[in-house]
Amino acid sequence: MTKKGADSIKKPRNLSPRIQWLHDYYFLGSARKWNNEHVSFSTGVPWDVQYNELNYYIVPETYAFFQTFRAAYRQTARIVPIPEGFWNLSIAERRALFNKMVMVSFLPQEILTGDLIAGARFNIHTSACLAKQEQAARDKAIEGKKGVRKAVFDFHYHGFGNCGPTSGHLVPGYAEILKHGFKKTYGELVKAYDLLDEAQRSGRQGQQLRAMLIACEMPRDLAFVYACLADSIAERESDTTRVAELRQMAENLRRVPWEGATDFWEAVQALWITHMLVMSDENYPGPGVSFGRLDQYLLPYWEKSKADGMSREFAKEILKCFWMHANTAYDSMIRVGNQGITAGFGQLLSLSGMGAGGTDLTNELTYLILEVIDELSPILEPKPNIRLHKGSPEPLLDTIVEMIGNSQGAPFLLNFDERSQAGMLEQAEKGECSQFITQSNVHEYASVGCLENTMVGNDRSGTVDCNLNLAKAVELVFTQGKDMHPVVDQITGQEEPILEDGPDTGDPTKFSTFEQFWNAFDEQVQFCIQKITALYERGESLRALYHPTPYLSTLVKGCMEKALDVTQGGAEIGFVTIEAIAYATAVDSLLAVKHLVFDKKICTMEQLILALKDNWSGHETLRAYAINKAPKYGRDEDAADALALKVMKLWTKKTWDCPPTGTHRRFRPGMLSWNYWVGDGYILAASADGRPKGQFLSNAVCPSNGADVKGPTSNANSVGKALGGKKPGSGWQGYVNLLPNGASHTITFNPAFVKKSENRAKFKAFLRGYMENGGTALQVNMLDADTLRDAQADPEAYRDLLVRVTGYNAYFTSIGKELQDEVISRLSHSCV
Amino acid sequence: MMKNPVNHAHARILDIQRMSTEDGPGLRTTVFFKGCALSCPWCHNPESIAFDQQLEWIEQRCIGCHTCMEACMKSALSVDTKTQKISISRQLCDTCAACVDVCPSNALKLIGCTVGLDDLCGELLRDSAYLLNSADGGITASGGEAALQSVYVSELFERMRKAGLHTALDTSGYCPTHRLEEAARHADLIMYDLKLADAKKHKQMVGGDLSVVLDNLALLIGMGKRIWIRTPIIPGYTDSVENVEGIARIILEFCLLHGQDWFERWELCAFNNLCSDKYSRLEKTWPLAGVPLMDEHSLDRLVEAVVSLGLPPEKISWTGMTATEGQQTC
Repeated sequence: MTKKGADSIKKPRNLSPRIQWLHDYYFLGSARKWNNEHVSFSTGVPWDVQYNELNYYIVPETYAFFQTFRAAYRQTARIVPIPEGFWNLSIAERRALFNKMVMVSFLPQEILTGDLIAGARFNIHTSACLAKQEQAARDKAIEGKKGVRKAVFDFHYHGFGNCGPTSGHLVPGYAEILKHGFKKTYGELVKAYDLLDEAQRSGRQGQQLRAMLIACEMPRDLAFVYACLADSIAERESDTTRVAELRQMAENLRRVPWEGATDFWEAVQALWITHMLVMSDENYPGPGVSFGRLDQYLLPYWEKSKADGMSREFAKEILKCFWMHANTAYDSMIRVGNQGITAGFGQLLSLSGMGAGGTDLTNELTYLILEVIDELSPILEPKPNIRLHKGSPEPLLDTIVEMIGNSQGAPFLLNFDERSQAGMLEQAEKGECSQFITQSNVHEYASVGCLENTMVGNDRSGTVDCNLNLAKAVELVFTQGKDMHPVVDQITGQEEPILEDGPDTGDPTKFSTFEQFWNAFDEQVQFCIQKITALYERGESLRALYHPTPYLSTLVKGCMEKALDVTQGGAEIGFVTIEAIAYATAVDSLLAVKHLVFDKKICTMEQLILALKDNWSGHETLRAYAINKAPKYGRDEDAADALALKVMKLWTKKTWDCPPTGTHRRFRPGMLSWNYWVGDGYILAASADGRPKGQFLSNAVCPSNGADVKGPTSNANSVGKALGGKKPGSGWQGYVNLLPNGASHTITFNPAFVKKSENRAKFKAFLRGYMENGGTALQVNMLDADTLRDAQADPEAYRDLLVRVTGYNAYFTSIGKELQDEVISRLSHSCV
Repeated sequence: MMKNPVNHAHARILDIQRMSTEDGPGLRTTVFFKGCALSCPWCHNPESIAFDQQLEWIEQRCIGCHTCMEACMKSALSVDTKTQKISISRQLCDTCAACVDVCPSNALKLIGCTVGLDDLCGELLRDSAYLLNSADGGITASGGEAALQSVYVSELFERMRKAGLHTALDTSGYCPTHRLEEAARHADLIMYDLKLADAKKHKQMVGGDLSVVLDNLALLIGMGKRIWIRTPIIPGYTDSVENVEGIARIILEFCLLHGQDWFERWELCAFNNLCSDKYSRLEKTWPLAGVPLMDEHSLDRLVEAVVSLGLPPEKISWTGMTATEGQQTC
């Protein structure tokens, strides 16, 4: 083993003194003079609550802390004097008003030394603004004996997965704001309000539009405060260049985002203020509030500024300031550290990609932004997602491969347009939204969070809201609808009675064919999907009642038109995505049952079930058969991949068949599986593929660990086949994609692979082949095991080492030991 | 099991490696054919030398269940009661593979398999999307000595070319001339080994006549083939400046006859030591066990030496793992 040392880790480069200072200041962390840690604000009433746990039902690591968070934010909340008549307003109006007061008048504003973009603190936990009875009813529905909280915990601890109505995860209509400013939205809201009759005005619709009107004023007023601040700093500043910058910033802020932007600096300023206030409005920092096609909608402003004489370097300087601001989202719990839940916020931006008629939209701003990323990386936010398609130009691929070769994890995700667009068209048809997604506009899609595909500015598809463990459905077949093991209460250590709420799909030991096993699996999948959608509805209906986000609603098309908050189904396109976890674990388990019990008769069903109940202990030979002799998905073997496709078709159809939520959102399928495949592996009983309890499940659409013995191309081919492959005349130009949301796919390569320039061309060929055969999204890890083991042993020396762990970036040394081991063990292609 | 499967429809192969970056230009899928007429002591694929299939036992995979013992009808397997190691009696084993089928952990493995042309073509075309997107990407027939199964290779190459894929033959050059001619017929590139310059040493060390290798090279040049020369640089065998210079002189002689354009590049392939355990599994000892990797400096010196003899520097390079870089570079 060779020790390469921390010198081989990518470092930021080519930073001006301004950016270097902002960068270094940011990385001072909690030693900074100010930070963007969550601050809470109260109306002052004794029942007031700020923390909204509904947002965190999908983060099981936080379950144990709900009461602590709730109490802590209550205790530290600063009281904001509320105006007269406040309690006579609707909840949405109260929230709009309260948040506006907090952001404009109570949360301190800062402009850092040299910063070219204003808009510092935005992480707030503000009063839910509920009246006493409202708060009591909400609390009962959540915390009561039969409340949704207990149901969510049970769902998770019994291995089904998790679900909850989560914030973020959409692309707000930023491009419109840049073009026309909030002024236009405001005008349209006034018009819409004028059209309401008297009854409507005093009813729900009037309340919502009034709330959105108040919310529209928030960015205007906040920008004005920042303009004044810039001026006042300029008064005291002696450096004339800096004075000029501050005066220009003040001038910018007096226009945007209220008016449309007229140049590049204004556009980036408008974008930042507009964006950060979404996070304030939702009381939720970062996760999945995504920018969309940044290089496309910023281009006209850059062209204008360039014509006016702005240098390329200055444009990069503006963007780098913007980048540093995006990272302050991570300050939310800065004193707790940058671990766990704060490691993957995912303010995603899309670059390049297809335009109308299959054209390519790579432009000079694409490259400029890539330079910014390259020079700043490793850095976590915003997360770039580069869209590739058959028409992607060679220079773009060259740049990408060069950047991948020089970093530890690729500093971006790759999204593949043909397969992705096929999925969006599948959604148009199956989800009955073909008026909004068509062959001629589908290329306008963008990804949110990590790789979840949505349309832009009119789409909230709850892309992380439901996370379903498919392997649980296989377990329920063995046990006729019961848990295999009792759940042990985490606090008392007591065993709970076995949960038996699943359907009895017949005694599997009496099954004489695999078909019977499959049919039972079909029924259990149906049960699991029903269970998760019913549970989701409970949380979502509470959000719709009590947690409006009127500011965000002004940025999502459909909300004004329907006079409905985005949390109440206001968006034109509104889905809830069921993200399947442990797909390959489920497929491989079915393949193992077929091989071991039915095809080769290596064991009986009784023996297999006993082995699973014993967690394979004492059944090592049978386990070895399951691991080594049973076929596996991920090897480009047609029979195994056909079963994978069959499972995909089964669960996606059942997802589409679900009734919509109370807010009229349909369910759609995807595979993200964030980090659940790690944690849930400790919950879920042993599986027939040879996995004991405690070992990780498979990740998103990836083959099981160690299964892809035939290398990256076979792995990618299997993924493409599982998504539906190709079929002339269907989807997008013959591509089929059963997962409109998209599917996370990670492959790790050894850096040696792209070391030689000759091999870089070969890597490009791999990417071009992936466009044809692979999935919707790819994350490339470029790491060798030795570097990682070094980092494990000497974390201080590798603080900057960035790796991708499924859909998110994380600093390697800040993730848990198990996950570190996992990343190391994934180095299956270390010797291509 | 077919006793003599070598014909145009069936071949004896060792393995298929997909997404190979080291077996020619572009991305490639490489087929390793089994059987070779030479017996180079440093061979990195010792399991490819014999044409016949062999049974091997991979200790690291064995879980000690001994299911194999009951499956063997020839009593060819035995267990050392102390070490729990399984030994294979080569006299008794008829490679029927009954033990391989029942081994739950794939610790018992049959080296080599017989594959029909249609099946192999289907397998190779699975990666067309990647290979066709790679300049000169395609398939490589390696070994073993692929040219010994020339009828099959020829037809394989013809079919692959029709599918638009580049074809490369990686050969030791030691085989009957008509075989090589046939194998090379539809090859777009020949990767040709020149291991030792001295005819006596060649015969002694690798067990074949250098003249056959040189005559065959002349044939390929005559066929107008695109050629890459490769020399394995093996400590104690081929790594002397004298040997490498000798090969350089051979190349220069061909240049006198054919001009400098007959070869496109000459690669000095640095020794690697990853194959030690393959030898022990075949119950063979490897003379190079424990020999460290070469360092960059000595490889640079070899390149300098041959360049100073007048070979064009842009065509000469060394490849492979070296000690200073560490073992992670393949």
